[in-house]
Parts: sequence; structure tokens; C-alpha cells
Amino acid sequence: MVVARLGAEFELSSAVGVHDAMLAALTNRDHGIVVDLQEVSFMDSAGINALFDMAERLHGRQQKVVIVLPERAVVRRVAELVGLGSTVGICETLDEAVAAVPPADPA
Amino acid sequence: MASEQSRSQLEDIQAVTDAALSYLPLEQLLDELLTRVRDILQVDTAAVLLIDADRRNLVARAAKGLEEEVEALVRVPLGAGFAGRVAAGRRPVHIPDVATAEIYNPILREKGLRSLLGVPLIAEGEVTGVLHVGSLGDREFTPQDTDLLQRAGDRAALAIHARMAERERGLAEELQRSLLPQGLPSFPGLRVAARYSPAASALLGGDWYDAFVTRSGTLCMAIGDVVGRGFRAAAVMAQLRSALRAYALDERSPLETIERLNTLLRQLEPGRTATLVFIVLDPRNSAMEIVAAANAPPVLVSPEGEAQLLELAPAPPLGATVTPSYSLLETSLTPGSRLLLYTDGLVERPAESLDVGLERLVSIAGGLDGSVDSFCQHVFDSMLPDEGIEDDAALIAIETEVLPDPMRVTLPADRDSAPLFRRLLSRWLEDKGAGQWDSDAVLLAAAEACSNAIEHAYPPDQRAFDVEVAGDGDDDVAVTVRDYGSWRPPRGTNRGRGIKMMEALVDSVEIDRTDDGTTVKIRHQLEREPTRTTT
Repeated sequence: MVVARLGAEFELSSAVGVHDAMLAALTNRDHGIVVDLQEVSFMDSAGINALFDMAERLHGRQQKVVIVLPERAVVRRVAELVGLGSTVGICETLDEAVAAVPPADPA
Repeated sequence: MASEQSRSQLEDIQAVTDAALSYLPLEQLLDELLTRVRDILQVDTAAVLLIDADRRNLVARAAKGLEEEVEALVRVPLGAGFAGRVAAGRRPVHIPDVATAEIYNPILREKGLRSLLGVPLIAEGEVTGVLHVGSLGDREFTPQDTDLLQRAGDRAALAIHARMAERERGLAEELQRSLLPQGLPSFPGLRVAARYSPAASALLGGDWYDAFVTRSGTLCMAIGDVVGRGFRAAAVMAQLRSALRAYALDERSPLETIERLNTLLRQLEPGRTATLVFIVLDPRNSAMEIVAAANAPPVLVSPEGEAQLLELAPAPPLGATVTPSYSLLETSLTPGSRLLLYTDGLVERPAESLDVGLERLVSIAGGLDGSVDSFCQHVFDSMLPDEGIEDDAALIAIETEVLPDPMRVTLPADRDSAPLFRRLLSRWLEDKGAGQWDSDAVLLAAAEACSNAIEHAYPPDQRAFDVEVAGDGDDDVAVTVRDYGSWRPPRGTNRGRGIKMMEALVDSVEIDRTDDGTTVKIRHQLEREPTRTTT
């Protein structure tokens, strides 16, 4: 499993690069990726789109995306507004998210 | 007979020191000088070799009777062979019989030369090359011959030195000019201005400055001085400036940046040192992170016009030690203040302590009205004497001001322009007393409108769009994003989410599409206290 801890801003100027880096980090043996957004203070539709796009791609490979949202703040509002929870798993804590993805297959 | 001889010697000397020679271009001067030397000394060959830029080799530059030496671009290592010994020993060398001497250049032997005489070309105490003559028959060169050849050599050295100095200065000035930033960043709430003055002497300094905005929207400013003069110092300056930009654009912290520059300089040029002040300023709150390496302390001018030196922890210059301990100073610039960064050349005067220069600068910088650009000019005019200074000098100043209402900004249609705009809007909303909830909503909606302008509405030749942020009535804010491209409906399954988000976040969103472009107007009521909470 891969855990991606994102920094302050997940938006237009960085979304594509972050999206590609997360996909590149996953191997076939992984059962999914945890995206930790707790430190993210700003996420726009480009960031949201990157998460949806990644979830769609990984879904086809039987891999899941679980995100950890910060408690309050605009990032949670945005995720709720666009119904992100319908496509990816949403957890309150990193531990919970990590527990939601089975460990990688042995090499 | 004796007087006849000395008269002819005098004529000979005049022939090789002829002032008229100095009006000739260097190539012609060398050519003419070699011809005269060959005729007067009645020798078969005459040649000039110059020391290469790396100061390790002599390279044939002009010749008479030995033209193949120039064509073959013969290189003789300093200290080796005949010419190499002349240059390294800085004195004439006479070889009566080539057959028994150590000769590096095979052409001299192939030509069948028997006797050689060489003198060093010395200008301003520095060896720049060698002048030598050769004879096919046996020849015992007299002290008079040596004296005449040395005079011719001195003449050539003078011309070569003048020409090299001119060329080096031209190149280095061009380099220096090309390395100063073409334009300085400018955006609401912040103005930057800078000045540079080359040294009055014929030698160049290594002063530089830079100012740019990173992808995350912070403003970086740097000023520095590479110790030493001339082309080499200017070249090192160029490398340091590029490296600083690279580290900063890579979002390295100021401390990491200065430490890397120290390591880089030690590797690039051991023994060379440089001073530096590097500042990263966040346009959202004017917070500054400052690191410095042995540079003169910046001057801070308060909104009331009181100037003071910013106290920086003492730190060694870049390149001085393997693991220097640099420290980070964190402070902020209240609206209406100015910060002035400068190099030593601005304050250092011969026979005067540095403190006197610093005091003069502080007293000049305080209480100056006008734009930050005229401030820079005034500081420059007041600090630098009319006759110029020995060293070069540079300064860069920033001024912060309260964000205007309405705030208008033109942004390049580029993804990287969004972060800077968000920092500005965030500060504008905070100035209006917006709570977190409203601020986040307006920021996000405005960012979506900007993304729209950047992503969807542009033919490749449309490069900019306008944003206006205005207080509208009591606690209303209106953000208008106007682009000049043609609308393109959102494509792909994940597009179109942005508009939905905008509409859900703020009170109203109007989208007006015409043939001339699209205008998105966002209105939102700012509540004094955030009463809504997340569900």
C-alpha cells in the first residue's frame, strides 16, 4: 500500500504532477493508496478531478483509493459538495485509512 | 663612428616604440612591429606568442618568417621549452645553438633555425606573452639586440594589455547586464525597484541582484557580491545567481538554499567567497524569511519614515567554510514600510570606517517620500560620489502598501499565476474582516473562475486575463474575472465540476459569454462572525 501525504495546496498548478506521482508510486502488488489530505489547506476542482480520475483508473485495476480529510475547513466542504465519498473511501484518521487497505501481496 | 652607431640605435629604438603604432588595430600593430624588428635585427624570423586565458599555455599569435607557427595554432606550456622559459622566468633567454637546447616547438627546428632570442611581454607587472626572433645562421645576440627586442616587447605588451582589458570589460559588462533581471515583479500591495552602478575603474565587480515570484506565489529577492574583479568574478556571479533561482524555484527553504550555495561555490571555485542576502516574502501577510552571508545589513524604513539597520546574526561569507552555520531571521513588513538591500559598494569609502557609511545610509533612507523607484534613485544619487566609485554597487528595495479597493490585477494565462493571486485575495479578504468560512468560499470560487479563464477559454495567443476584487455595498464582495478568449464548453467527465462548486460556495455566480470573451462575476456577503458551520 502507498500512503501519499499531500502538502499545503492541491490545486491547478500542482494537481497533474501530484496525480501522476501517486499513480507512479503504486505497483501491481498494492491493493490501494491512502491519500492523506489533513495538511491540505486548499483544494480546487483540479485537485478534486485528479482524485476522481485516479479512483476511476485504479477501480479498473481492483485497487482502491482511501482519503483522509481534515476535520473542518474548506477541503472537507469541497469534498462533500461534489460527492467525493461516492467514488473513494473517506476516513477520519490516517490509522483508519491504512486499516482500510489490505497490505500488498508478497513479492 | 661611435656617434653614427648611437644615432642609428636611437632611430631603431624609435622605430619599435613609435607612438603612431598605437593607432593601429592590434593585428596590424603586431604585424608592423615584427616587420620592423626583423629588419632592424636582421633576423629571419620574428614571432609573438600570447598567454592563453587559462594561463597555462602560450599560443602563437603573429609571426614573420614563421607563419606556419600561427596557422598551426602552436601551443607551448608555460615553463616548457624556449618560449615557455622566457614567460615563466620573466626575463630574456638567448639560445646561441638550437641543436643543443631544449626546444618544445618542433617548427623552430624544422625551419632550420640556429640561434634564438626571446623576451617576455610584461604589462602592469603581468606576463602576457613572449616575443622572439631567430636566425638561420649562427648568431651571437648582443646586449643592444636584447635591449631593442625588449623595447619592442614592451610596446607590444602595452597594446595587448589595453586591448585585452577593453575586451574583457566589454564581455563582462555585457554578461553583467544580461544577468540583471529584465523586469522586476510587480503586483498589488508590493513594489520593487533596483539600481546597479558599475565600477569607475576599468575592472569589473561581481555585484548582482534578483527578484522573482515562485510557483507557490512567494516573492524572492536576493543581492550579493562575488569577491574579486574581472570576467571571472562576473562568471561566478552568473552561476550563483542561476543556482539561487533554481533552488528557490524548487521551493527549497532559505536556509537550505544558502547552504547549498555555499557548497556549490566551494566546488565551483575553491578560495572564492561571496556575500549574500536572500529574502522570501509571503504576499499574504508580508511575513519575511531572511538569510544572510556576510552582506551589509538591510535597512528597514518604517511607515513613519524611521530607518534602522536590520540586525542579522554574524555569518561567514559563502565559500569560506565547509559547514557554516547560517541562521534564519523571521520578521514582517507592515504596510507602508520599505526594505533596502544593497552591496558594500554603496557604503564603503576609502579611508572611512564602514560604520560612517552605514550611518550616512540610514540617515538618507529615513524620511524619503515618493515612489520606491525614486527612493532608490535618491539613495543612489546621495550615496555615490559624482566621480564614481572604485567598486561596483547594487541595491534593491521593496515597499509594501495596503491593498487597494478595488484591487485590479492582470494575470498571465498560466497555471502558475493562480497561487500568487490567491495569496493576494486572501490578504484582501482578511483586511475586510472576512471570517474563515466566507474567505475560503470566495477564494475557492475565485480560483475556479481563474482556472476557467486559464484552462478553457484560451486560444494560444491570448496570454492574460483581468481580475477585479471590489467591496460592494456594506459587506458584499464582488470578484470579476474577465478573459478575452472564446468560450469552450467543459470537456470530459471530470470537467464542469468547478462551476458547480462555485455556485454551491458563494451567494451568486454570473457567467456572461460574448464573442469577445467571458466574464465571471462572483458576489458574496461577508458575515462579520462566521455563524455557519460545517455539517
